[in-house]
Amino acid sequence: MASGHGLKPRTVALRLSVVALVVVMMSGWNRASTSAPATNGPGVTKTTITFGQTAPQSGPAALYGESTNGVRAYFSYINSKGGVLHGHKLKLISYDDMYSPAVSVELTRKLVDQDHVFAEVAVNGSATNKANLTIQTPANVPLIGSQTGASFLQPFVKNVYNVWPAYTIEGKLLANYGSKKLHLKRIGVLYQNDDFGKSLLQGVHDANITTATEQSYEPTQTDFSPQVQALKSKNADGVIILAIPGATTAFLKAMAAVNYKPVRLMSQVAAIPEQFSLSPQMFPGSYLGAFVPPPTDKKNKQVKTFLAAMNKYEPAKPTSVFAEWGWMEAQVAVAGLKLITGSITPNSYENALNRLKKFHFMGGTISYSSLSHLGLKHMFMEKAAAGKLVQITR
Amino acid sequence: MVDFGQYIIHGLAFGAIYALVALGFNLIFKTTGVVNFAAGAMGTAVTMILWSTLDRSVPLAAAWLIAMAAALLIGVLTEAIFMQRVERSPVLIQIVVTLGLLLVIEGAVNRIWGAEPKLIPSLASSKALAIGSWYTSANDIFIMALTLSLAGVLYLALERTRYGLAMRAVAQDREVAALMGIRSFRYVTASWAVGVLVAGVGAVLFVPLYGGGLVPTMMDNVAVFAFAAAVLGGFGSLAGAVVGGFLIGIFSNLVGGYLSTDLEVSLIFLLIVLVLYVRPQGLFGVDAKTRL
Repeated sequence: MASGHGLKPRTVALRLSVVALVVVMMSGWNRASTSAPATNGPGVTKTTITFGQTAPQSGPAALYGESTNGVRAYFSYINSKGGVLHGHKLKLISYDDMYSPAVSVELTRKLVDQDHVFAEVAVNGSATNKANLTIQTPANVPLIGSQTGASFLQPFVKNVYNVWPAYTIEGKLLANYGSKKLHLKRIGVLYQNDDFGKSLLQGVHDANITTATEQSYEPTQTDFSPQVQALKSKNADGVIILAIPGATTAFLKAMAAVNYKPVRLMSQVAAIPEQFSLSPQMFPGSYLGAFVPPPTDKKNKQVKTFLAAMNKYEPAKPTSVFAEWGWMEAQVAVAGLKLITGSITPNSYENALNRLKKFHFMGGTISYSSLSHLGLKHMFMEKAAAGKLVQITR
Repeated sequence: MVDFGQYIIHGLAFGAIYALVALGFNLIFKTTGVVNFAAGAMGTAVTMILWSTLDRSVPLAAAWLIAMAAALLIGVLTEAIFMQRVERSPVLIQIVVTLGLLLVIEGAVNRIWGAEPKLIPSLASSKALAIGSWYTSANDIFIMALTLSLAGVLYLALERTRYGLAMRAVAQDREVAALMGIRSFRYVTASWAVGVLVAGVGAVLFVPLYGGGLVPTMMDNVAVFAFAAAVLGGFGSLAGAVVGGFLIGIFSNLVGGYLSTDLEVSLIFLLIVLVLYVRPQGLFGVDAKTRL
C-alpha cells in the first residue's frame, strides 16, 4: 500500500470497503428485484411473461384489431387460473400498425429492442408480417399465430409457428367448391393486389380451374364499378372474392348497382356480421371459407368458453370471428409455454412448440415439429343464411 | 359501347362526390389561400355524428340538421382555434396544420366510434334502375342533382349577393377589405364553416353510394380525387370544382375499366400535369395577370 506522498493505507482500505459494500448491496438489490434469474430470456420476470403484438386498430383493416381483445381475454382467462410455469402471469403489449408494413416494422423494432418482449402473438397482415420478419427472425423472437396464410411463411420459418391454414388451401377450397359442388362454368376472381390476395389466388390456380377473368384491387379503393363491369362483360356466373371486409362490401354494392348477381364465394377474412345489414341483397346466399366455428355457434364448447371469457374479461368488446382468431392463437401460444422445461428462453420455447402434438383448440387440432410449423390443414365452407353463418361442410 | 356508357354513368355519380369535396376545398381556398387537407376527415366526423343521432332513433331530417350544424361548428372551431393562429405564417405552415388535423381527426373518430362499418341510409332508392343497357339508381341521380344545385346556390351567393361580394373582396385583399369596413374574420370563418358543411354533405352521401359502410378512413381516397378535381378545375373556382370532379370521376372509371385500377391515381395526376402545362391556372381558374 502506498505511504508517504500517497493515501494512508487505512484510508485506502476504508474506501475499498465502501466500494465493495456498494457492489454487494447492488447485486443483492438486483436479486431482490422482480427480474428473473439471469438464465431466463427477455420479457420474463419472476412473475410475468410478456408477449408483443402489432395489429391494425385503425386504417382500412381496423376490424382485424379485434383479435387483440381475443388474446387479452385468453390471457386473462389463463391468469385467473394461476397463470403458467409456476404462476407466471401473461401480459400483452399491443400496438396499432394501421395495416401499414412500414409502421408495423418500426413498432416491431420497438417491441423487440425497447419493450424486450419474450415472443409475439397474433400479428395481423400478410405484408406487415413479411416486413416484421426482418426484425423478428434475426432476433429469434418466436411468433405464434401470424394472421396470414401467405406463401412466404410456408413451409417453414424457424421462429414462426403458423396457426392459420395456408391461403392456398382456402383458395383451392373456394375454387373446388364453386366448380365441383356448385357446377359454376365461368368463375371470375377479385383479389387484393398484395401477398394476401396473390397467395389466395395461387390457391385458386392450384385447383386447376380456368378463370373467366381475374381482377385486382388496391386496399384503399372505394369504387369497384370497373371490376364489376369486367366480370359482367365476361358473363362470370360465379365470383371468388379474395378481399378484406370493406372492399368486399363495396364490391357487393357495385354488383347490386348493375343488377349483377353471380354466385359469390368469399374468403373467411370478410366474415363480419355487419355484412348482413350492409349488403342485404348480396351477402345472404354467399359462401365463405372458414377455419373457426362461427361465434354464434353456442353448441360448440370452445366457442362457449370464448364467449364467457370475453363477457367477463373484455366486456362490451365485439365477440367477432376476429376476436376468435386472437383467442385461438393465444391458446396455441400458451400450450407451447406449458411444455417448457427449465429456463424460459426463446430457444426453450421453440423447442417446446416443436414438441406440441395434436393440440386440440378452437381451430381444430394442430401439431408442430422441428421441421414443420404449418398451421391448420383443413378448412370448411359456410353459407350466409338467415342472418348468420352456417357451416355446410365438415 | 355498353361498358363505356356504364363507366361514364358510374363516373358521374362518384364524380359528384369528388365535386362536393372539391367545392369545400375551393370555398376555403378562395378566402384564405389555404388547402384544407382535413376536409375528408372532417366529412367523416360529420357522418359519424349523423350515424350517432340515427342510432338514437332521431328522425332522419332532424339527424341531418344536427349533423350539418355540427359541420358548421367544426369549421368555425377549426378556424378560430387553429387557423387564426397561423394566419400570418407561410402557407406551407398552414397546410401542415391541416395535414396534422387530418391525422388527429381520423384518430379521434376511430377512437370514439370504432372501426366497425356502419350503415347510413340513402336519401333516395339505391335499387338498380335500368336505362336501356345501362344501370343507375335514383340515389345516383339525386346525388348529381344535389351537387349541381348546391354549386349553383353557392355560385349565386358569391356572385350575386353583397355577402358574396364581401367574401370576394376579402379573398382578393384582406387588409384593403378591412379598410373598406368589411369584417374580414367573419367571412373567413363563414368560408370555413360552409366549406366543411359542403364536404360533410359529400361524405354523408358517399356512404350509401360506395356501399362499404361508414369507417374512419372512408374519405381518404375521395380526398385525393377531390384534390385532383380542385387542381384540374382551378383552385378557387366553384365551376372548376364541379367540372373537375365529374371529369375525375369519369376518367378514373375509364382508366380502371380499360387499363387497371392500379393506374387510376397516377394517370389522374398525369392528366393534371398535362392540363396545368397548357393552362397553369387549371381549366376554370383565373391567372394572376387577369386578376390584376
